[in-house]
Amino acid sequence: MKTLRYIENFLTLLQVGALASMLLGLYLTYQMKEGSQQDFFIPHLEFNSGRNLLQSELTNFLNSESHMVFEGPESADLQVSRITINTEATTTWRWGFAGFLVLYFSLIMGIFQIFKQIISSISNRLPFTKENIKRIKLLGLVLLSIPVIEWVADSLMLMYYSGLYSMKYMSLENSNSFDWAMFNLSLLIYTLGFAFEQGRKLQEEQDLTI
Amino acid sequence: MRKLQITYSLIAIAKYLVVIGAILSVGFFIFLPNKENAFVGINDFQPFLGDIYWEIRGKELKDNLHAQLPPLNEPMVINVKRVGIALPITLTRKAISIVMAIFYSGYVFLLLHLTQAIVLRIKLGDFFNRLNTKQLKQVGLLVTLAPFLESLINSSYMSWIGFTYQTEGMSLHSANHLGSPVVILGLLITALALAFDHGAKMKEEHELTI
Repeated sequence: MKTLRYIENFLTLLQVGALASMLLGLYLTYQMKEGSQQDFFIPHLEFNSGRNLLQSELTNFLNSESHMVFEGPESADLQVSRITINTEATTTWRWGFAGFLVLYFSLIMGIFQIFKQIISSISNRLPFTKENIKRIKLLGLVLLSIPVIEWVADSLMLMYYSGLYSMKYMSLENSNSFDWAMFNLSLLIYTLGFAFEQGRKLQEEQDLTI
Repeated sequence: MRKLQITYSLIAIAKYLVVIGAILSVGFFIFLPNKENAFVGINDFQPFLGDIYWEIRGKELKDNLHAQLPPLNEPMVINVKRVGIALPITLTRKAISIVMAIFYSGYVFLLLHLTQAIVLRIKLGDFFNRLNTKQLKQVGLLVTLAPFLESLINSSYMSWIGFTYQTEGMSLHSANHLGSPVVILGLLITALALAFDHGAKMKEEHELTI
């Protein structure tokens, strides 16, 4: 049960960290100057495969014309693989970003809270309760939906920005790909919810025997 | 039980994909010709050596690179912020890639194999036993350790690049794929394993009573 206490304390720390990150994010968004350039939360441009003139020019400039220091024993080259897009931080953008921060961190803190309630019930040797089964299944579903929602949001964002920005021989890309690790592990959590149902029956039988 | 069947099938498919991916990766690195320069940078096919890149800090270099970019339609503002490195493909680099491909695939395969075994037992109605508890604890440990291992491998490779190549006006960074959500999932699985332990003891007591 010592392990559980450590996990619970760690989760409390994370909750505080998430709250602090949210407040800091909101403060920085508030401090952001109207019309300033920002490059996060937006796809970047990647060179299409094959020989690309712009990429060759940039690489050539970096390695021979820029006169910057790049030293090493092997015949290595510096290479530009992506171009960052900047957009103006308008009032609408800032409000949208602030809303996203609040939603995202509230979800994280909510997940931690459910997790802490599960741990608390296990510590009290009452893991197989109706509420816990609900919590585990809910947690499994929420965690399962996160990679799916992320993937859909990324795809929609890519579609939206594709209509706005384009560049010859380059394509818009997102840094995130579908999170299979999270998806598979959430499936396991959801499955364990079913096992807890069985545990509840067992607990009821034992209570009746006593 | 249909949900459990779907979960079981998804894990089985993921296991096959990992094996196919491992064979293809090893084959790719074996038949990759020497001398050619392979890019070690963002989003390219080098998943076993980390995403290493330099972020441009120097204003002069940033401005010089920006001057190389073509003028575009407003309000799109583009610039080069990240630079990767193209290293020669040597026998050593190929060997490291093959070892890392086998290590990563083996790790994920073991994780999926354990998860599949647990889901199968739950599907068959065999919930609380010592084996399930033991394997759940193993899964929890493997999941919790995964981001730290990835970070360790990435940092080692980054340190090697940092010591081997010297640059000016740029700072070296690496991007990890697995982050804190995976650690949280690992801890949740460990906590549930402890609840399973309680369930297994309860079942044993129940059987003794009968």
